[in-house]
Amino acid sequence: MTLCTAHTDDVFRQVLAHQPDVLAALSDAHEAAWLAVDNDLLELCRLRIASLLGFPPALGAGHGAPQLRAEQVAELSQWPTSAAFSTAQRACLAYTEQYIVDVAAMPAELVAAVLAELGADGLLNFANALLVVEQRMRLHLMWARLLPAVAA
Amino acid sequence: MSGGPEPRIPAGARMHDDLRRSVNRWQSLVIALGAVDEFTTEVVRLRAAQHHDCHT
Repeated sequence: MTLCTAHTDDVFRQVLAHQPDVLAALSDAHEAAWLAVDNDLLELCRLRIASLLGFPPALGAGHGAPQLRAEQVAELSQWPTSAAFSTAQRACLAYTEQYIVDVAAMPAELVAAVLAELGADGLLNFANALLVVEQRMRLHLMWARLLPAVAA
Repeated sequence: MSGGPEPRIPAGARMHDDLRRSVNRWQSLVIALGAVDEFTTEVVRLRAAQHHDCHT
């Protein structure tokens, strides 16, 4: 599949040029997702989603992850066995993988693990932030595939 | 509501205000777009809700 090398923000501005309200709402939701969830945690999950979807992570980057270590990024695909990740990160990565593969079959245990680590508000924020981050990538991938002007 | 699935988010959980407002606005605007007919839009919305285990 051909994927343009433009940043997701630029692709959104291009595709939604005639839908400024939708563009603004998507941008606001993205900003809010990074306000609502610990940035290191959300960036870890964003990188894992990118890997699973075959999305170049640099195209969607934009928010800092100040405490994220290079070791964690390097070992992200081995998070179940790597010692580089905290209990909260493991819970959220497990949730993220299930969310991407089959969200309708999300086991209660994975939800409970995130709830235990982040609390009720944190779980609610994390689930919605994950939706925003995931849908940005899927929209970018879909538009690059369907719209020649984006893929160019 | 009786007979529905057990809620996974505890009652009283509060979503970050900015995130709640912006996600709701985004979804409302998308549903209101006119390029796709209302029937198809609703079928897709219901299918997406089923996929996401959403009951709204």
